[in-house]
Amino acid sequence: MDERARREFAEFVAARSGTLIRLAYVLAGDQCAAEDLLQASLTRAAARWERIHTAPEAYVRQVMVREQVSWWRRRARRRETIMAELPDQAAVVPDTGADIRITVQMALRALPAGKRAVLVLRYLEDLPEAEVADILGCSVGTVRSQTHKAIAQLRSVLAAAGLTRTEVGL
Amino acid sequence: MSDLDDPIIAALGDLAGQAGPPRLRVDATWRAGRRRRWAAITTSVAGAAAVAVTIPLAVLGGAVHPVPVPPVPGAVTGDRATAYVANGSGTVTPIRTATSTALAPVKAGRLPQAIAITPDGKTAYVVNTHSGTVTPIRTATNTALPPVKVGHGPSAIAITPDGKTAYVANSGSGTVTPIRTATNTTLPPVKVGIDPFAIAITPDGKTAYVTNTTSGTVTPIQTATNTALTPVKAGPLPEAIAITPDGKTAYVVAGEGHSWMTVPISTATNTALPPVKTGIEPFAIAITPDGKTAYVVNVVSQTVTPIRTATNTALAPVKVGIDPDAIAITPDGKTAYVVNEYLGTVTPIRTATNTALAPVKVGRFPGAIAITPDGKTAYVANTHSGTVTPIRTATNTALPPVKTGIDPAAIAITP
Repeated sequence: MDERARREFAEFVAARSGTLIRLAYVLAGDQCAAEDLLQASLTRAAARWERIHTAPEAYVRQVMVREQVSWWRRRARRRETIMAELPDQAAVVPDTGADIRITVQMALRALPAGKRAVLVLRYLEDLPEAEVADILGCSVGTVRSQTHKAIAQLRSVLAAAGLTRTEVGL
Repeated sequence: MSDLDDPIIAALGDLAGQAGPPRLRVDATWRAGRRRRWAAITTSVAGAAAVAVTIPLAVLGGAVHPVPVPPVPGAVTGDRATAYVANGSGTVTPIRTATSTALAPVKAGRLPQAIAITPDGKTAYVVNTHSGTVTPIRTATNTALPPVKVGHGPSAIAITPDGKTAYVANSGSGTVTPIRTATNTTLPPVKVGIDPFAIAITPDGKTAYVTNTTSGTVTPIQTATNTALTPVKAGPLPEAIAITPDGKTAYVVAGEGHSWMTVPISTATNTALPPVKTGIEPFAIAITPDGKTAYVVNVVSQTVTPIRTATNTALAPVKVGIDPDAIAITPDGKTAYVVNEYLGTVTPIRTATNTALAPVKVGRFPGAIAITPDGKTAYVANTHSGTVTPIRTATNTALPPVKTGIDPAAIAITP
């Protein structure tokens, strides 16, 4: 990396990290994991800056999503181990708008690999289906079916939590 | 779909809004630490993570790929030979291997993740991670006996070759609980390291080796006295373990960031030998019955690294599919079957030449594999399909899938 590339990269990190961390957060689920995810992706971007410097943000987004999806898979593959007691979850009985949003958030967090990424890219990043398919390395048809299934799953989780479709618009 | 968009966008936006300003240190010296971080996160964020984590899991660890044990008199054989599939949903599906037909599921505890069968084939032990118990199943009748209480978060099991003791690694307690199989009663737990992940026992039955992922060590346990010996340092984050049939060397896959390896441990001296470099994220390991080659499955590199055990040198990696995560070798040692999770395929590798054959299509997100003692059939658990695909090893063709429970996660076959 020469001096110019280094400066460009530093400027990019300074300018865009605040936005990119939002996507990282939604993907990874908490601040620590989000920072790790963003940092790893930026490190990869730096390594191949010459090739990607014309559109670095798209590249970093793509790396983050792919990395996180494969992370979820790996995590699912590694047998679960437990380091502290997890309490049984109390039933959520939401009655205010804020509670409903929290319940929706919890349901989103509970979505498995792939599905959350599809929703994040389609709705938060507002990308067209073709671009989502490109990032995830699958067909447009798969993006559609994953979106459909993700929404169906959200619906069933929310129904289990006692929320009706009209309350959450699903 | 526009009427669906608003609440999702709002919730996603809310989530995104919770992100704080990133604390970054982007430079060449940075090393990936996500794996370690994640283990802590899944437990500290009780609510959301607890929901997200109870997906399926994998195969190995445990009895990982046990050295084939010769059938003992009175063993279950012939038409009664059975593959037991532990389903993450809390049941075990017995499958008669002669016909590949599923029998009625047997109820186990919450989140079964590992299973092992005694060498006489009479009892299958199912490890229920969320219940903190082990369910013995009488294979003659396929009935569950009362669950045996072990430690917190049990995740792996191995049984001594004489069948007298089952060792269960409790990931949450940092202990190993010995279970006397004659009475299904526990002995006092043996303290090991933090986050014990996998366990393997030497063929002479004298020592159990436990990988402690967070401690970065392997604890040998003397089975005669159930005492832990001094832990052996074995790379960062050791996971799967396998022992050579001659019992001389335990191979442990480990690593993080930019450093991935397999650590050979001499069982005579309980010392680590120089690590053998592997591909990125080695996850599973199996050793040929003749003990000459250890095959290490590298998830991210999408390769298998053969290691010559005589010299502990890595041979050229064999390319397999995307996200390989499990391996099993036929009893004649001629073929290694590697499960490619992402593609839903299995790549056979001819061990004589270390060449990959055409992949065999199985179900969605396969995770565990086991081969019948006669070597004729490999069973592959498809976690997302809720099926097991039998593969005829003679022709490497898949037979119609057999329905199991939800999230089939581990398989063991009667000797």
